[in-house]
Amino acid sequence: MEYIAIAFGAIFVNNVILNQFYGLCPFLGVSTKKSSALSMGMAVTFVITLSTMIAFAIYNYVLVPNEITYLSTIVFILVIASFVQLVEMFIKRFSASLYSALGVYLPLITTNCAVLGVAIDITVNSNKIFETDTPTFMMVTIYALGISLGYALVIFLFSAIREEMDAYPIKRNWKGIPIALITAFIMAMIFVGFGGIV
Amino acid sequence: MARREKTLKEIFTNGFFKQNPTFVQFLGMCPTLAVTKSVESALGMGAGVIFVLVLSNIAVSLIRNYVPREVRIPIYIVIIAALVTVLEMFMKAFVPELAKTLGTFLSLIVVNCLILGRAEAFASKNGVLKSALDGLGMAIGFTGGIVLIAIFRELLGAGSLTIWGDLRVDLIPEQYQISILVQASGAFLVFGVLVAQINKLIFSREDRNEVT
Repeated sequence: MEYIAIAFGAIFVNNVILNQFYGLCPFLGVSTKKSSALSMGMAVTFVITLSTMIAFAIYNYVLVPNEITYLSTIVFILVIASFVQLVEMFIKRFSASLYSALGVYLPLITTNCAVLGVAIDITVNSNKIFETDTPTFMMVTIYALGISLGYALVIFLFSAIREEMDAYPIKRNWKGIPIALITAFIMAMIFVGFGGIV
Repeated sequence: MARREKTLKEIFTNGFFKQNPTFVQFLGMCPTLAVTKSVESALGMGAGVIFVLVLSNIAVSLIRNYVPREVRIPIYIVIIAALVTVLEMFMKAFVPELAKTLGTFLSLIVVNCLILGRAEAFASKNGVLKSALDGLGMAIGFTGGIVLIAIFRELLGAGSLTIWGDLRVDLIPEQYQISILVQASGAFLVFGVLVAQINKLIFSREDRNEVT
């Protein structure tokens, strides 16, 4: 039951994009077409879930015992950057079709602040999310999976709305980013409603 | 290049309006929306970005002739991450309250596209003085942008303006405040409306230039 609450909270209530403002640049940049939004969502889900597990292990088994937690920012960004590189090489080697779908988006993910943000949130700021200083590996994994599914869900819904919106005339100064931000505002208000369920 | 060299003053003021990172280039949008709940935290974030961007531009420009092209991005990221770690330690030691408000976004300066973008687009090609000026100008433009958003959100949403700690004025009584603006979703609304109005200004100026 506890796990379901964590997952639900991560997907809907504390949605990364609409509530915590992580990963907005790719959110506004890639979400003009449904197909590219779907690929981006898949790539992000994969990278966030695995890199969070790695970051959690490194933080608890390397940084904390040696009392060098102040290095966490540098260590995490290096882990994420090399992990993304590794994933790219791996996909390129084993699946050409997957590479053609995700390849372009993988380098972008290194600078997606959702990846680093979630890694820092579950380690350094863990008591804010889990209400305990020592979350278990299972809790962290479910949280990361929920967060990234929330990301994929919102970016896909948003791209569907933007595709429809292209068919309507919009004033020149509202076209592009401004109208996208207003759309995001309305979606964020809808997602606030999920807060009442938990 | 046929274009003449830019003067130092032009490099410095480029980031203020013409290439403003917040409203024209849309770089580093996560902190733009996340820390603009109050003017105080926007100013704190701006100060952090000024510190990191100026120093990272100087460092990148100093080593620009010794770094192989293939590995330049990881090297820039390590430089920026080291500077951000220094900034984090400073802020936690001297202004712990502010460090707490900014939270994760203090560490997330590492992946702020503005900083890596300036390192790649400007500092890796120009001298130290020019790079430092460019970094300072861009960071001031960024600070100006987020403070503008924060002024609207805090004034209309919470009815007050907080510059630093107790240095605050309450202007709007509670029954007239629009509290949604200080919630997460309000950030999108304020930013979107401001961008549209600024676009309007830019377009009307362009139209006037075409006529004359």
